Amino acid sequence: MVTTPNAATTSRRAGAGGKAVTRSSVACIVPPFVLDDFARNGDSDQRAAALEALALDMSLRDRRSTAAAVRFASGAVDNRLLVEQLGSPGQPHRLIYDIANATSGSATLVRAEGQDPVGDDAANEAYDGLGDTYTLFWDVFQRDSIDDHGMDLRAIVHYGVGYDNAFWNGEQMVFGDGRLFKRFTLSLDVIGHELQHGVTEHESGLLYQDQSGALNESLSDVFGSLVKQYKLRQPVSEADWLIGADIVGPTFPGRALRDMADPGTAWERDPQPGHMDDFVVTMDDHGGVHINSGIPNKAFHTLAMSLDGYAWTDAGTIWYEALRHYRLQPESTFRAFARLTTVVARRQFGRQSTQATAVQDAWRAVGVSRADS
Amino acid sequence: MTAPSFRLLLERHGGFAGVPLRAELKSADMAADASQRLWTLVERALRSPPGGTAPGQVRPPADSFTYRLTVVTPDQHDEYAFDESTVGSELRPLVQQLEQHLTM
Repeated sequence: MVTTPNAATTSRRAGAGGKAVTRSSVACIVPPFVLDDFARNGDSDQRAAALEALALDMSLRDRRSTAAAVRFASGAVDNRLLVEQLGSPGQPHRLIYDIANATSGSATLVRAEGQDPVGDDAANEAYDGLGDTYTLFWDVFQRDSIDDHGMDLRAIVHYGVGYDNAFWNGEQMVFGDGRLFKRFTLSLDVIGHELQHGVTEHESGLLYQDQSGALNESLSDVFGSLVKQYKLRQPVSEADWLIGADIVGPTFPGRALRDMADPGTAWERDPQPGHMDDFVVTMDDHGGVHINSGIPNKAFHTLAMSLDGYAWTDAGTIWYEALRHYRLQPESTFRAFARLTTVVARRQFGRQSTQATAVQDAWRAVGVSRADS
Repeated sequence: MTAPSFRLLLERHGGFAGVPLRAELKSADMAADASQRLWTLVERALRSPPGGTAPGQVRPPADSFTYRLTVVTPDQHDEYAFDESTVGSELRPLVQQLEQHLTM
C-alpha cells in the first residue's frame, strides 16, 4: 500500500491564494460515476434523482467553463471569487512524490503545481507528462482532469528497485525506474496511458479482465498515443502509432512494446492480434488484456487513417464520447463498444456521414462487426 | 528442513509492457547453501498458498503483473497463479529473489 499525504484532498483544488477550497455542489459530493451507476442500474426513483444530479453537474461544468473563459479573456475582477470557488478548470493540479525505491509506506512530495523543476529527471518528466496529458483532455475534450472535476494528478516515481512497470492504483499513477526497460517516465505515451486508466475507471469502470479489460487497455493506448500526437501536432500520417518506443533499450528485440498500426510486429515475439480471428484465450495477464487490446487498437488506427488529418479530432472525439456513454458497462465487449462508437458518430456527424461509415468499416476490418451489420 | 532437490519456475505476464518473462532455478545448479536459503523462502511463501484476492481488493490495479509459480520436488508438482496486488509479506521475498533472474 502506497500512501501520499493529504489523499483526502483529491478532487479539491487550491484557490488563487493557495488555500484549499471545496466546491459547494451536491453534484460534487457524490462522484459522477456513482451517479452514473444509479442512472443505469437504480430503481425508478434512484434513476430520477441521479439524472437530476447529473443535470446539475453538467450545469456546474458549464459555469466553470464560462468562468474560466471570462478569467482568461478579460481577467475581470468580479469573477475572481467565482473562479476561486469553482477551482481552476483548464489548469492541472499536479503533485509528484518520490517513494525512494520502496514499494510501500509514505512518499515525499518533491514537486507541486507551479513549482520549478527539481534535480530529479523522473519527477520532472512525470510533472511535464501529466501536464501534457491534462492539456489534451482539456483542449480537445474540455475534460477537467481524471474525474472531470479537477482531481489532483498524483504520481509516484522511483517505485521499487529496478521496477519494470508503471500502473494506476485507483488513486495515482506509479512509475518504476526499470531494469530491462528504461525508466517509465521517459515515455509520454506511458504517462498518458496510465492517466487514461483513471479516466476509464471514472467513466465506465471497465473491468480489468478478459475482453472488457482488453478494451480498457486499448483505450489507454489510444489516448496515450493521442497525447503524444497532440503534443507533437502530428497528423495521422506522421504519427508512429507505437507504444513504449521510448522505454525499450538497444538490447530489446524490437522497436516498441506495441504497434497500433500493425499489432503483433512491435517486437520479435509480440503476441498481439489485429483481428478477432486471432483472439487469444489465456488465463495470464488478466485474460490477455495487453494482448487482445491489439484488436481495438487496430480499429482506432484504421478509423484515424481513413479520416486523415489529426487523430484527436473526429476519431478521438468519437472514441472519447463512446467511453463516456452511459451504455458502456463494466463488462462491455469489443462489439458493444463498436456499436457505441457507431451511435456516437451517427449522432455527431450524421447517419450517412463519412465518419459514421468509416467507424463501421474500421470495426469490420478487425472482425468485430460483421459485414452485414 | 533440509532442502530437497527442486526446480522453481516463475513466469511473469502483463504489466504496462505486456512482455512475458520467466525465471527458472534448479537446486542442482546451485551451491548447497544458496539452495538451502532459497528453499527457506519457498517454505515461507507456501505457508499460505498464493492466489486469491487481497483483502479489500475489489479489482486489480491496471497494468499490474500476473504471476505463475511452479514448484517441483521429487514429491510435489504444484502451480500457483496470482496477481501482483495479492503478493503479501510471506511470498514477496521469494518473488523478489526469482525476479532477479527474469529473462525473455
